[in-house]
Amino acid sequence: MDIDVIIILLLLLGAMAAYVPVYMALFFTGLLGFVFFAPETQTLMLVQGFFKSMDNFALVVVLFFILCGNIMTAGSIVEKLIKVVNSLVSWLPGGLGMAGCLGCGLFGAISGSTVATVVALGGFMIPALIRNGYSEKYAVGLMTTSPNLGIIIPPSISMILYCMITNVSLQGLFLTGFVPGVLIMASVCVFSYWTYRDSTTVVRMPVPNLREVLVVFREGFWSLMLPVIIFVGTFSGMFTANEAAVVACVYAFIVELLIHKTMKFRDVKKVVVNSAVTSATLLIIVAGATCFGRYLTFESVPAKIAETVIANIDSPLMFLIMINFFLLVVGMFMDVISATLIIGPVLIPLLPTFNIDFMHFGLLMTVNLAIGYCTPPVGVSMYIAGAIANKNILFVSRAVLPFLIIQLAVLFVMTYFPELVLWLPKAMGFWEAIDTSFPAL
Amino acid sequence: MAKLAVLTDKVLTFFEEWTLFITVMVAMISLFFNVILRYGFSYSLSWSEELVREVILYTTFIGCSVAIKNGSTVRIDALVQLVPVLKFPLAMFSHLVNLAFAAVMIYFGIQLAIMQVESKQSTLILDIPTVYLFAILPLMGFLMVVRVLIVMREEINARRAESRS
Repeated sequence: MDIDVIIILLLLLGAMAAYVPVYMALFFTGLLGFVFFAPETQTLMLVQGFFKSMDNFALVVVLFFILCGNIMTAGSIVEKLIKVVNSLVSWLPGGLGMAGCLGCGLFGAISGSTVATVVALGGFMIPALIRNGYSEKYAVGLMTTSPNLGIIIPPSISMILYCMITNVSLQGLFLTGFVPGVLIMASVCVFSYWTYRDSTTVVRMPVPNLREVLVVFREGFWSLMLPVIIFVGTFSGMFTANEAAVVACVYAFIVELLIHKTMKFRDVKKVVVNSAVTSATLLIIVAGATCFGRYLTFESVPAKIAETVIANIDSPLMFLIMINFFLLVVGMFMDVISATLIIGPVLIPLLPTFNIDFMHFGLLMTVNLAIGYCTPPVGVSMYIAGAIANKNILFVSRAVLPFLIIQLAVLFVMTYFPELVLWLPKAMGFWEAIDTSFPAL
Repeated sequence: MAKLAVLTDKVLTFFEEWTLFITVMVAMISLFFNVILRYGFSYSLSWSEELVREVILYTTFIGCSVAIKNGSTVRIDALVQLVPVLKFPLAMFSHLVNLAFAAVMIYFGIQLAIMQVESKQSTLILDIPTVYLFAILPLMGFLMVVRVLIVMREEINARRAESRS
């Protein structure tokens, strides 16, 4: 590769490591690349591209799914969802742990990010688990890794952005998330059962009778309807993804304000503003990545990388192993959104050569990068969970290991058996054969 | 100086929060009504999509300025977590980069806005002159400069207080 591209890439990595906001690092390195190595291009055009990249109807969904997640956390929907799950599994050995993991899955079914889930659920699940006799190591490990379900189970922000750069069906990609999500939850439940099967220290609830379960379900009915609305609405084709997100927000507002009455009207402004800011911090990365992407395409970097890869790797299997490893390392350092937007356009053109399905790869990227969030030594989730539980990073690193192994195992199964994830979108009619059209960013 | 910082912060916060709140609510309600109209009255609003796109433009760029105040801008803190001594100098460096970024946004944003006036462009359906949209860029730059200066001041003060005790 040319020396100037390498300089720019090193600059980008340096700026990112130096605590410069990700979008500015992307914007400035893209700009520098153009100014020094291609002076004829106007800066004005790049700034215009930066601005115009936000003028995109597909991005609206990000804001509203974030808003929906925030309404739920500010009010009592999350709490009620956890109660429902808890009533179903808490009588089993390791039941509260299972409830924590399943709760993350349910929460992920509405919100679309990991960090939000660690904060929302870790904050009260870790102390609750310890109080009920679970080991600290188990509690911290569980609540650091389970929030990954937030981006694996749809709706997922990184999947939305992947669809934006590839034109894969969003509904279809969402559907692929269910299989790994359910597999991870099931494995974690089995692991919890196994760990605490003979334990005498852990508090176990009595087996609930049908009436108790019904009472909890009736209380949680309005909360349970929220994921139902999102899924039925999107997958039946009744709503577009944008509309589903908006309808979910309106529904969540109505439930919290009028039915649960846990939220006051004056809280509404705070929740809305916070969500707008959170979505801004994520979406602006899209704008930065657009500028950097223009530089990469200008230097035809994706094509050059493709050439090198194709010349050196000849089997799809080797390619996928390399990608797994590469994305895991990237995921440790970079958040899922920036990584999808920066690395996606470079890797995606390679897929047809190795006969890898676009939708399958979208799921792999998401799961792979998500696992990076809690991979020692630098995953973001570990620092947040460590701060919540007041533990140092070494402790958290050891605590996440068993859960990390579960998630990695699921990832490898997903990687090498594509049909396992693709049958669901195929059955629902959202899958299309590979179109080799070049993705544009 | 301290009073001025607090006052500017208050004024900006008021402006940013209310405009963000109103624009997001307008977008939410117009999209929601579009769904209701489609299923209830088989009617569709032609302007809602355009309006919502413009709202996203506004919230994204103005939200970034609020993010500076909240410290919620996405950055990679692996290095800072591993080597905490570097946190202060790197934070200052990133503030300087931020100021440079704001300057670029102001300078080129104004040029882009002027271009829109000269070519008399407006949006397709709502017929909003695009100069108002591009004006978001210099506005963002201006808000950012103020925000970054306030945050820098706070961080330097905190650092001084720390080294004294």
